[in-house]
Amino acid sequence: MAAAARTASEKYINHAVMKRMVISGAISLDINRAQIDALNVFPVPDGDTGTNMSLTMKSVVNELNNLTTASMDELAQAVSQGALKGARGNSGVILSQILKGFSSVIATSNDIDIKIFANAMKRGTELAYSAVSKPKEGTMLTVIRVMSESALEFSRRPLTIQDFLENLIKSGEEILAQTPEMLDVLKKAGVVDSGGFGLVLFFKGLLSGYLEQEISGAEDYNFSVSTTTIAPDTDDDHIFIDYDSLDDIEFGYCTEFFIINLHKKTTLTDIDKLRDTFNNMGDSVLVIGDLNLVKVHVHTNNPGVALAHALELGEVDKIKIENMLEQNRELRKKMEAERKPVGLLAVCAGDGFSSIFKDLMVDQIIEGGQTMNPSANDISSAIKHINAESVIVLPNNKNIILAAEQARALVPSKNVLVVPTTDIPQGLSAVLSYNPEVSAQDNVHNMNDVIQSITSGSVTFAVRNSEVNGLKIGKGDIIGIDSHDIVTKGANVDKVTIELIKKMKKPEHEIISLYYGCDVTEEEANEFSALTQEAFPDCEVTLLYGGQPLYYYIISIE
Amino acid sequence: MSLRTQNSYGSITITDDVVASLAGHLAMDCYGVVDKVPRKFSDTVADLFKINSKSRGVRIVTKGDRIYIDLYVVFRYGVSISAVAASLKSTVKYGLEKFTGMIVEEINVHVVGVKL
Repeated sequence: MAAAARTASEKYINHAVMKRMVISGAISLDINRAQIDALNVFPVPDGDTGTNMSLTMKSVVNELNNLTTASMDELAQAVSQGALKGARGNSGVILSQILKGFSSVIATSNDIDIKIFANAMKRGTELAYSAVSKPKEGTMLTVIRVMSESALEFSRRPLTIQDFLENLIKSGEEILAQTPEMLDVLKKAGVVDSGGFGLVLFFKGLLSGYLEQEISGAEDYNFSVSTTTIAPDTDDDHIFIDYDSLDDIEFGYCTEFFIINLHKKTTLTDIDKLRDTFNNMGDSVLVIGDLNLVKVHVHTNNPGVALAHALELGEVDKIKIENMLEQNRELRKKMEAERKPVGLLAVCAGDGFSSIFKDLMVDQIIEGGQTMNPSANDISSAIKHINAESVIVLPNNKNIILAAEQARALVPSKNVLVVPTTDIPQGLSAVLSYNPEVSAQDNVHNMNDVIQSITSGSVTFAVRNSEVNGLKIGKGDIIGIDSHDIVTKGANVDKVTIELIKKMKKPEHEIISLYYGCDVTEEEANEFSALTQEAFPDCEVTLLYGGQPLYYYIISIE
Repeated sequence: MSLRTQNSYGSITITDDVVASLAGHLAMDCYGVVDKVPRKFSDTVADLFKINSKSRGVRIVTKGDRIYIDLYVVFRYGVSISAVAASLKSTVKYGLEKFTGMIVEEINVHVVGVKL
């Protein structure tokens, strides 16, 4: 009996489990609300996707908690009504449409199997697309669509609910990672679509609810494109706002309301006509519902006219009109107040270096390096994210200096100064010499002086045969490079590094800093550091984790 | 075929013929429109049109609650063709939407002749 019940629950979801799952989905959205907010870039930079989706779900949970009967039908109604009532913002409304479609299908059966689940998702996708007047790919619409298509595929296999959901979530994460390729705005900001991210989190919550697991705290979010900007931790959540595009609000009033008690003579066509009228006087138009209840959302410069048109169809209720221009101004004022005179931007490769730069109060870091060179666009993007009048850019690689100079032309609103650092040790010394008391210009002058006195080198492997400086180098040989040339080679990393230091070191040098890369283990590095100290007893040897790819050690001598 | 929509009492259906007649009336009321589909117009095309004079020169396609309409008209010699065509479009569009309660999705004006 127990065995049969177990198998049944692996293949079917009853109403109690569904209720648990939905509530868990809501919790998942709430816990990660701030993180989702920080990803918001489309359609306006007002950072509230997470809050909107979470509040939409809170309304659903409210309805669910008031349920007294134990039928899937009633549960479906509660989800649908709760979502429609609580829907706010674009993402909240789209989520509510997905839930409306979803619940309309699950209402038909008290035991939901994966086939019904997949059909429910399909219906949810249909309603979501029909709600948006100009559906764009690369948004949460794409994510739900692809997840629904995968769901239908998976539902044909004899999977358990757990496997089904896990596969679903994986397909969602995959398409989410591709959203920057579909929408330029996302690519420029270096983020995935926030609504899509919220959706994936929601489904993760559903899975946790099914498995009766606790939802862990704010999830660690991993997203990698070859150059990702990493903002240092600040006291408030760093919001990915492109500070330069706050001017772009064309329609100033965000207008939302319900139309209730529609006149008897109002037809469905009148609702369509209303949508067309709003499309002509504003954007971000959403007109959804039926002859019982219509929810309207529009950005327009004439909220009064919008209300007047709606009044022809019935009564209006829960009217909310917000002045987005004013919100925008407040945001700008806040930005101006927090603006500092000088900001720092550094390019580096290696998570160890990133932490070191962050600790030295660098505002933005771009992961770049020998092979992954950031484009002028990537650099200008990062510059735009720094709220300062002047920005000092440290390319830390001679291949990036030119791109950094070009980036200056792409950000005319800021005073961009480039210090031509050719490697990371130079960059580090430049940052260390930064003085907040003097002007950006003076700082750049000082930095230019300081970097001249840095002696640095690196150790890596040769990718092909060549002859340099009288040295015959074979592919795979370990080579030691100083600031200009390959000066030594060998078969053993430790030996080559020590030889390199011998060649670079002058009698007046006192400190040798070794930065080990990700190809060297901590034990190996520690051993080598001891070796080096032995070899050069008159210097102080320090070992730090750089985490750089390809280069075993980066050495700085002063 | 016909247009269809719903309100709380039930459904409303309007056949294409009605819409075509209506459009024909509205078109003739416009300044500068002298006739629809002249006698000299090719016979094969004229066959496709209703011989019924009220909806002559009007081609209607409907889908759901959307109307797609083509008008074949003759203008008076001397008027600005672009101005009258624009006026014709807006008159027919507004009139149809007001009287039927449906939505005109597309309206094309074909000026097939000019008459003194």
